[in-house]
Formats: sequence, C-alpha cells, structure tokens
Amino acid sequence: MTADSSSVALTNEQQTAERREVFQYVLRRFGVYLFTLWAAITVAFFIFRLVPGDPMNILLGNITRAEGRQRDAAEQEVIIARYRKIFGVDDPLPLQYVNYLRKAILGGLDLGPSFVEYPAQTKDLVFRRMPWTIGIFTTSVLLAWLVGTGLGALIGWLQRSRLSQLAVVISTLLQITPVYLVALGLIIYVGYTWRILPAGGPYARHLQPEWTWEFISSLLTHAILPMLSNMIVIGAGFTLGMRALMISVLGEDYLTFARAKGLSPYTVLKDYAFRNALIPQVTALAIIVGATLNGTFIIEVLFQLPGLGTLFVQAMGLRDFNTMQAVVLFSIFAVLTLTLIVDLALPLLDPRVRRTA
Amino acid sequence: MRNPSIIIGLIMLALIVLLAMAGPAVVQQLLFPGERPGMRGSYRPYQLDSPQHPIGTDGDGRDGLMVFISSIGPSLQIGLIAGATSTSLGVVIGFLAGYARGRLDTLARILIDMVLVIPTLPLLLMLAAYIERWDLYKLSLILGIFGWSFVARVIRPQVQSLRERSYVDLAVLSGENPLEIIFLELLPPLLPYIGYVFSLSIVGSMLAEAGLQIIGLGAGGLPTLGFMIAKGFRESVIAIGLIGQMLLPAGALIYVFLALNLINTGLDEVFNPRLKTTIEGGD
Amino acid sequence: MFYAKRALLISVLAVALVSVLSLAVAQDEEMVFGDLPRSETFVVASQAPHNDVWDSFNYYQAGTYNNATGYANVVHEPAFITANGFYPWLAQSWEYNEDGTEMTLVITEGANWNDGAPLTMDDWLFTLQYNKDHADKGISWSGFLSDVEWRAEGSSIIFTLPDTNWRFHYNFGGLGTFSPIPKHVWEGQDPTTFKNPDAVHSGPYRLVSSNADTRTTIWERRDDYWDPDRLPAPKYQVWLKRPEADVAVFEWEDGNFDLGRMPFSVMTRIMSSNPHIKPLVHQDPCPRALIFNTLNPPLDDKLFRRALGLLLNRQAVANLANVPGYVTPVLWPNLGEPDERYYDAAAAEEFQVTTFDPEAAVALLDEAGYPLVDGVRVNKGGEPISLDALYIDIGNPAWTVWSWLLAEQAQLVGIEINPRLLDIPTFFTQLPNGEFDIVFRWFCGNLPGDPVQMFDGLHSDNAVPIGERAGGVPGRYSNPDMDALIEQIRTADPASEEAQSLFRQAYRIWAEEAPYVTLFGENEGVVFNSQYWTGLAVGQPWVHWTPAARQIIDFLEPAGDM
Repeated sequence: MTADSSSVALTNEQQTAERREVFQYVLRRFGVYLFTLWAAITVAFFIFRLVPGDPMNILLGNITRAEGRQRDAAEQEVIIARYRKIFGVDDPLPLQYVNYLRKAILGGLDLGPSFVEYPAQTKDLVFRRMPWTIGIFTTSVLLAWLVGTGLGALIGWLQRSRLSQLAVVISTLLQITPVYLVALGLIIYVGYTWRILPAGGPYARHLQPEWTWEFISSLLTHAILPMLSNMIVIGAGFTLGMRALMISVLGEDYLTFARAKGLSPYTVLKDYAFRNALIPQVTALAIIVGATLNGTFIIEVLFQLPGLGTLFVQAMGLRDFNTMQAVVLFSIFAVLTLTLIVDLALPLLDPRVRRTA
Repeated sequence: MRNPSIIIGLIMLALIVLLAMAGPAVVQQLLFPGERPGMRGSYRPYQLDSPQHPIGTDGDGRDGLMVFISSIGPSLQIGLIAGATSTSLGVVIGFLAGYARGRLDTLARILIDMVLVIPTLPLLLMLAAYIERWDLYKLSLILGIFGWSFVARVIRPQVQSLRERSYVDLAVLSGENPLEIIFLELLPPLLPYIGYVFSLSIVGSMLAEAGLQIIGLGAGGLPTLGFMIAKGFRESVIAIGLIGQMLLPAGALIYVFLALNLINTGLDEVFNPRLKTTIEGGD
Repeated sequence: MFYAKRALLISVLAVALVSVLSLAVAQDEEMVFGDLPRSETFVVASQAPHNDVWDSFNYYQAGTYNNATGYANVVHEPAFITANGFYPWLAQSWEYNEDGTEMTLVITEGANWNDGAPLTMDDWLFTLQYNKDHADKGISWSGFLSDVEWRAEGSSIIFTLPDTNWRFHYNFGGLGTFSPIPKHVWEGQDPTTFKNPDAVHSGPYRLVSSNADTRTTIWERRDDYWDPDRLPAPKYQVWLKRPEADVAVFEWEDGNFDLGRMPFSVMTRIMSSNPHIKPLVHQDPCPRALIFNTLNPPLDDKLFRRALGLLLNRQAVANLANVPGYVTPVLWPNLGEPDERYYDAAAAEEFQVTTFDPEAAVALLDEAGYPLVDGVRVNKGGEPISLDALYIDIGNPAWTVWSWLLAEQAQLVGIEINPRLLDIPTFFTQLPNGEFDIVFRWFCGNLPGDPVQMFDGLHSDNAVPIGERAGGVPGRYSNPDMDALIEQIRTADPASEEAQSLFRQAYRIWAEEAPYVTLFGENEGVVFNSQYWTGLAVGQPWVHWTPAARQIIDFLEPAGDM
C-alpha cells in the first residue's frame, strides 16, 4: 500500500481525472490559505488595538524617565495629539482597519511609521531585521529537523537498545532545559572560557556589511553559537516527536505483515515505518518554524542579534501597534505559507491523503 | 503486568508530589526553626550559597531553597490542569478536524491555523484587563485554553492519514459508527503520540505560566518553578553565582517530564503488545 | 668620579632598558575594534532602556535617547550642565531684572561645531525660532518659548517673559536641557525626521561610524575643539549596547569595557575577578514614592493615608540592599540633607513623616472610624477594605519588595493589600489614568535649592476623573489651600524668604494630608575599569544618564601616566 504500488498501472483516463482532482485540491487549498491569511491578519489587527496600554502614555512615561524631566501639561498634549495623528488612532477602529489594509496592499506594504525607531518606517525595520531571523533561526530549525528526524527514527526503531534509551534521556533533558540555559552555557564555555568562537553580536563590531572575506567569515563564525543553541533544543524536540511517531507506526499490522513477508529490516524501516511517521513530522516543522519567531527572542537577546524577535518584544514594550503588526504579519505569512507548502507536498509523501482531498 | 518503566516513573512522580506536599514544612523545621524563610525581606538578597542558605537567597530576600520547594506544588497543579485541558481540547478538535470531511474540516483547520499563528501574549494582556482577581485555577484554565492549537495541529494530519487505512475502511463497511471508529480504531494507535504531547503540554504549561505572571496576570505572586526561572533570568542569578536557583527549578521540570515519559513508554509497551513483537523481530 | 661613572653607566643602562621595554610595549600595543589602540580608546557599555536607534543624532526625536550612542555624552553639549549646581558650558550666566519679567542669557563666545564651523549668535537665534516654529510637533523645549519674546544684544540674549518667572533659566539648565543647534545643518529640516547623520554639535568628538546591527558607535576626538582646557584625554570613544548582565560579566572580567551600568548584585563577582574594576556610586536624583489615589475610598481620607504611611517600613526596604547604602529611606523628597529653610521640621515630627509605627497606625485607624470586625478592618460602609498596590519589576528588589512588606504589615492590622506586578506599558497607562489604589512612582525634576516639584504636581488641575490622563502627581488630589500655595510658589523667586515660607506651609499641608508618601532614595552605580583610564571617582558631580555626563569624560586620564 505504498505510493509505488498504487501508481504503476494507471490508464490515461484515470490520469486525466486524477490531474483534475489534484488541480481542484490545489485550488481549494489555496483559497483556504488566502482566507486564513486574511482572517488571521484581521484578528491580529483588532487584538493589538484592544490590548490595554496606550502607546502615547507609554511614550511620555519613557521620556520622563529618560530625560528625568516632567513636561508640562500643554507640552504633553501637543506630543500626544501629534503622534495620535501620525498613528491614525483618532479614527474609529473600522476605518483604521480599512486604511491599514488599503495602505498595506495598495501602498506597497506601507505598514506605517514605527515608534520603536521613529521616524523609521515599519516596513524598513522588518526588512532590515528579517535576514537575521531567517538566516540564523530558520536555517537552524531546518537543520535541527533533519538531524532530529533522522535520529528520532533511528531511536524509535532501535527502541530496546541501551544506546537509544540513553539518547532518549539526553533528548528529554535537552528539550525541557530552558533554551536560555543552553545558550548561556554555550556562551560561557565556548565563548569565554575556551574562547573558541565569538559569543555575541552579528559580526565583529568594527566591520560594516560588505562582500569581503573578513566580513563574511566574521558573519559565519558569529552565527555558529546561536544556531547551535537553537538546534540543540529544537532538535531534541524533533527527535522525541519522531521517536513517538515511529513507535506508533511500528505497532501497526502492515509492519508485522511486511516483516512476515520477509522484507529486510532496512526496507521495512525506510519504506514503511519512516515514510508513514514522516507526515506529522513535516507538519510539526511548519509549526515550529513559525514558533521560533516568538520563542527564540531570548537567543537573540543573549547573542545580541538584531532579529525580529527582539523587535517584537521592544515594540510590545512600547505598544507600538504598527511594528507589532508588521512582525506578526510576517510570522502569520511565514507559518501559513509553510503549512500550505506542506499540505500541498503531503500527497507526494502519502497518497492516501490525496484521496481525502 | 509488571513493567519497570511504569514503576520507576510512578515512584519518581510520587517522590516529587511528596516533596511538594511535605517539603516546605520539613525544610522549615530542619533549616529555619523560628524564621520565615519564605517571606520577602527576611534576609539580605543575593547571598551566595552557605550552610545556612544551601542555594543562596533570592532577589526578594527569601531563602532560595524554600522558594524552590514551595514552588513545586503550585507548578504541578498548574501543569496538570493546564496540560489536561489543552491536550483534551486539542485531541478532540484534532480528531474532529481529521475525521470530518468537507466544510467542517475546512472550518476546523482555519480555526486551528488562526489560533496557531496569532501570538498569545497580546491576547493574554487583553484578558488581564478584564479579569480582576487571578487564582491558580483560572491561570491554569487560561493556559490550557490557549495551548490546544498545537496539539490539534499535530493530531489532525495523523488522524487524516489513519482514517484512510484499509482497516478503517473495513470497520466502516462492517457498520461501526463514527464514534466506535474513532475510539476503537483511530485512538489506540495514536495513544503513544498523545501521551508524549500530553507530557510536553504539562511541562510546557509549567514553563509558560511564568510568562503570564510577568505580564501582570499572576495570582498575586504565586511561587512557581517557571516564575523562579524567569526571575532568575531577569536578575542574572547565574552571573551572580547563584546557579542552584536556576538549575534546581529547571531540573525539577526535566524530572517531571522524564517521569511522565517513562510512564508513557511503559503504558505503551503494556497496551501495544504488537509493538514489542515487531521490535524484537527487528533486532 | 667613580660615582659619576657608575651613575652614567646606570643611566645608560636604564635608558636602554626603558627603550627596549617601550619598544616591546609598542609592538604589543593591543588593538580593538579594528585598528583602535586599546590604550587610547574609551569603551562605554551603555544601556538605554528602549533605544535601538543608531543612525540618528537628534534630541528632538521622542524615541531617540541619545545616551546610548554617546551623542548626548560626547558631542551634544548643553547651555549649562546641572549636577549639584549649574556649570557654564555653551552659556556663561543668566540674570533677571528686578521683577522677574526679563532674563538675560550670556552665551559662550568662540565655540565651534565639530564640522569646523563657528557656533555663533546666529545659531542660537535660529534654534530659538526653530523650536518655537515647530512647537506643534511636540518637540522638547518648544513649550516654554510659545509666549516669550527675545532679542540679541552683543553676546547676550534678552528674553521678555509674559509673567514673573524666576525659574525661566531651568529651561537652559534642567535635567533635559535646551541647547543650540547648527543652523547650516538644520535649516529647512524637519525636527522629528531629520537624522543629523554626521552628528554635528559642539562636542570634542566626531562621528567615525555607527552600526545598527552591532549596536556600536565609534567617535574620534577632534583637535579643533573650542575649549582646549576641556579637551578629553581619550582619542577614541566606542559606545556600544551592553549585553545582558549574564554575558556582560565576562566582558568586564576581560577588561573589554571601561564604563557602564551593571546590577549591583553582580559587581562583587566582577570586582573579585578583575582588580581594576571599581563601582562608582552616585545618588539618583529621582526619589521614589508611593502615590495614593485620593478618589478611591478609604484613600480619600487623609487619616487612612497617613496610617498606611506609618505601616511602611522604609528601613526594611533599605536593608534589602545588596550593597550597603544602595537605598536609603527618604526623609524629604528633595534628596540629601533636609534644608531647614524649605521644610517644616515641626510638621514632620507631628505627622510622623517617614516613621514606621504600626501601633500609631492602629490608633489612627480606630480614631478615623475603620474598626476591626472579626479581624478585618471595614470601611465606613461596613465592608472589608481591600486595596491593590501596583509595582513594576525592573530587576531591582527595592522596587518590588515594598509592596510585599506593606501588605504584610497591613495584614497584621487587618487590611488586605494585594501587591500586583504590572508589565511596564500597562503601568505607564494606568498610572496617569488614575487606575490604581496605591502605586510606586519616582519623582524627578527637583533642582538644588528649589523643591518646587515636590508640590507642583499636587495642583487640582491634575485632579481629572479616573480614566482621563492626568499630569503631575496622578493621585487626583485636590485642596484649595494647596492650590493657592502652589500658584504663589510658581511665581516666587525660590531663593527669597517669601518663597521659603510658602514651601514650609505647603510642606505642612503635605505632611498632614499625605497625598503621597516618600519611600526611598536610590544610589545608582556604574562600573569603572581603571586598567586603561583613571580619574573617575565617587563624589564627582555627574549622573550618567543626564546631559551632565558630558563632564565625565573631562575627568579621564590615561592610566599609563599615573
């Protein structure tokens, strides 16, 4: 009952029908994707505006704290009036919403000005920080997924061996250890005690981004530790998840059947067990990639990386709607798109899902 | 059937429950007779380890060990309530979405995807504005209600895949109703995975709870393991040299997770005997 | 003869030795940040709370706290530096006419901008007009100019004020202070969006580079600075955002930073592993206090408020200090020694200001009609009293523990107080909106010899309904007697005997009514590394986060010279 056996002898008619079916599936899936995207953005828009905390008051409060000086009431009113206007928060909420969508779609992703780095545009902020988040976190999640899935499958397969039980204990330990401790451990030992790798910043402080070997090597060496911290924790999670999935799959009839047919253990592992356990694991990947955005802000802070996670936390601290929305917009887009890709790719992995559609 | 994994796991759990219940009184009696080690301002803050304070004192002037011991109980309760809530909600919704076809499935997945992608922090802040007094139970329920989407999202495709298997078709043909199919055919093979997700949810809630306390949702400064870790992070206890105040609560979380996983593995071996034969055959 | 020969030999040997050594030292010259010699570079690990703006050097921008990049500290210079007095900088002096309706400001002549252009009266006049013209943009230092006229006379600017005002010079010397900007750079620019990309101002440094990714700004000293006597010693300054304390400790232990803020709790550790590290403690100019919401019963009752004040064990809060003297109970909202001319010692005694006395609190509560029923104090309607005490946590025990100590003491006398930790944005919204019972707050803006800020915020102008934003002290306090005194104080010359009498009367009302109560004054600490630079010491007149920090760098001397 695998993909190979079911698609061998199809007639032309069957193929055409199947193609139409696939086309319809893709189309419908894409429609659902667009709808979910819109709905999520809409909900996010209203949530952020209903969160208690008025950005104008926060701004004033921060200014008084930073300047150590009380502004008189008239001065405060002027500041508040001005920024309320810039942020368009004087309009009724529905109008704000329409304006927001209109500018975002028709204005070439014009997401308004930011508070965090006023007068910088939110769009520019997000684009400037996105490469760090994608480059360091998304890459490490992908690597962690590859390693974790392979390891998990192996551990699940060799469930009874001492080594695999040890591996389970270690992954459990790593998965629950707060990522903060893992990152700090790496910083302390690798970065400062043994001085093997730089443990802070995106690249050496005196450099400016350019295509020179000095810059690129600095960039790469600085990326190793944050990527490693992320990989250790997330990879452990993937390992344990895949192991549990493998165990589920291994208990099934068709594996006993396959064994009984006399197939080699390797074939059973590769073609039967692994393939079937892989589907939910691919789904989990899409979810984790989205979750890293919120989850790895501690890594960004500890390693002083200018990524989206810190940006979101900073924006949250100022209730900077525009920036919060922009970051979340990015995250919503990334997760939903990944989920879409996964859903479209699943039928390739598992022909049974295709029939559902 | 006697299964060593279950027994070890249960003993481990029993031990930590015992510690949570009797620990505070014992520590009080043994180390601090006549003192108030859990009260803020009792000692000079950030004292390093000493015989008097085995893991030092915390930033609020309490004994670190006392804070740790009294944090276990509330944490376990939160983890259990929140973990059970989120797992059961997530499993129910995941099964519904995975089993149903057409509109219902589409609606369910839109809902799951939305809850998954919208950050929970602002939602929680909104709630904080409307609920006046917080206690442990409200806190746990809220955590559970926000945690189901992850469970549902990973369960749904599995159900979807399983329901296309031939044995399910067979069950449909033999006239089983959907509930029977779900409970007799689809649920059992997924139990190990659900068990894993459940233990993850429990420990995840114990950690996530700290975030809620920090943003002002806390039930009046409830001592919990998650909060101890979060506080330690903000106050740089590792830099100060109070490593115990970070490692002990983290260790306790790992311990709980290990115990739960051991039980999970054991149950699996008992209820999934086929698994055992397969694996023994595979070696 | 013999001795002379020997002396010659020794001196020749010594010279040879010294030159070999210095050659070795020169070869071993440590470079940092690319090619900056470590011994000529001053590295500051700054830590402004939300600042992440590294490409803009503009004091008018609301979100740009320029003390992260160093712009505020090494380039932007104020008219006067205010620490424990006024220090002339870009302006020399001020003088009022006899009725306080005219102020003459004498500017410093011969100053120049760091791009080489001279700083002239033109720049001053341009700046004044620029601020006034852009008042609608909510920029700093525009409000005070709206109804003021000025004219230049030689090197003086004469301001004509609409009313008597003896505090007009505060605008040139307060904590956040007015300063001229270069006309040739700013003309035609919008004050809120212009980035001043070359960081032009009158300070002794020029911008080399600033990087938002690495959060690092590098400055180089200029030799054409207008006041050679105040030319700082470091040839380079590097300002960077300090890592989290957990990571930063290693940088300090390695001696990579020269000056910066660190939590007191980790200082002991840093100092024990690097003998060059010293703590520089100075008093934060903003004392901390508790504000009561006087609209929420029973906090509308002055006796009840005073009873709560008596339940505050300030010494216990102070004892939580990790470093002795870190927090001290505040006896008087203006920090330092109580100045008898401005406060009423008899009133302080009579109303037990800052005294911890639970028994007196009980007596006061009984007297005021809050009896103990079944172990619980009830309000005038017979219902149990329950109040929220709001605080924020910035990792400083003293900011949080007061609420728990207060709750504990209140419980002993039968009052329920719930400490509530708020996230900082919510706090900054609830505070001005009056959505609190008891709240922790700092009081900034008092100047030496003028505790005007102590009472000014209590004016009933600020007593707006709950939910609306209030300035001043947001406790909704209103008292016609206090209003009258405040209005008189505002126009009185703070140095006059008349003003001092007004202050004493206001103090008596404050002490009796307790609209807010003082908590503690806090010492702030910066860490200083004396391996490469010396000269900074406790007691020097600066606070590192105010413009006064420009003075810090003048005290620096290379460690090699010592």
